[in-house]
Amino acid sequence: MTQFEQDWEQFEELSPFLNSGEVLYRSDPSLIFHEIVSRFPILAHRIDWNKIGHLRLLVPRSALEYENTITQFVESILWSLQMAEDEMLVAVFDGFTEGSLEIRSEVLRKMAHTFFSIAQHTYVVPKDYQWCLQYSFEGYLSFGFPSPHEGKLNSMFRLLMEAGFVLEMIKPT
Amino acid sequence: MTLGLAKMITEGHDALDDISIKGLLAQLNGSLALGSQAVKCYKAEPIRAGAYQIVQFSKPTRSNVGKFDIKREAEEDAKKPKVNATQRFSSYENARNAALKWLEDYGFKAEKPNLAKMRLDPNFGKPVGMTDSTGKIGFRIEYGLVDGEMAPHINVFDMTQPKRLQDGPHFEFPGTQESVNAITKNFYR
Repeated sequence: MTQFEQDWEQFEELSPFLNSGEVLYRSDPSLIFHEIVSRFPILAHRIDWNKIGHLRLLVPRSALEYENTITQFVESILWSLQMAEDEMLVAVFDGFTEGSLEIRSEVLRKMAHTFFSIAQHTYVVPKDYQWCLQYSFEGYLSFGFPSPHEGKLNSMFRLLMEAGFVLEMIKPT
Repeated sequence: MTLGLAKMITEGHDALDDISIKGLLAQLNGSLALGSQAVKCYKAEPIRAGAYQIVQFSKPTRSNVGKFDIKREAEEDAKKPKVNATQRFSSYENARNAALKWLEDYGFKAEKPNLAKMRLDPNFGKPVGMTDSTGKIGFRIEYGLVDGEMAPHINVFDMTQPKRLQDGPHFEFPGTQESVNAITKNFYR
């Protein structure tokens, strides 16, 4: 079994988007990890969110709440960032799957729950690495910028709270 | 009540795929105990407080969804831990033993190091745990956020399970990042 075939067992719901070119599979994510590590503070092989401040949401486990929460949260984040539907984002995975994905933001909005449900850390970044959305193995969705950006995080926090999310804004320590 | 649920799931519908009893329990947040009977075909999704519908698990279509409301007793919820709940231990050794017990139930044998990909030097592997020969079943020891607090813990996974049900409990133990570094050094070969 090739690396792609093994990875795609986990990503199979994305197959229609792979065929349409809205999702691209890349076999070697090491440079993307290297870029993230060089821009974001790292503690113990993970982004040290406490150093830069972030928004944090504990995703509920029940099937219906899980999918709805992730979909709405991602949609709200992308909307508040004014992300164009056709902008390509990058998803990398620290865990079982080896490859990375380039994914159209519209597809991420619809399908994030399918790869945030794989038991591994998942990082989604734009190609200029100006923000990161992480789903952690422990069930947290975290969002932040490479350096403290309290004003922007505050406005996103207010927007998400008004939308009904129970989340925390963690200030940098 | 729980036997009644098992009967509803296993009878009256054709078996379709491989969701295990573990998967069903996780879907129900561990609130129902169905013994060791293997259950196939259906998952339970909450439709309102205390009620679930049983849905064909693989590629469901509206026409083959069977619906049953199941009352869930509050006492049962209180007694049974969530499947992926954090378990706290007084030492790394106790946490490790409990994590290995969870993994061995899925046929785990430690055969290769589990390498962190988030690292400064992309060419330099940092083991954070171990996996079986396929890489699909294993663990990683991390210092990170669990239940709102930074703590050392062991994450376990079985990628052969359906998605969202691949992780087990988080086995937390006392210590710091330095404690985790000292432990993971043992995974160098």
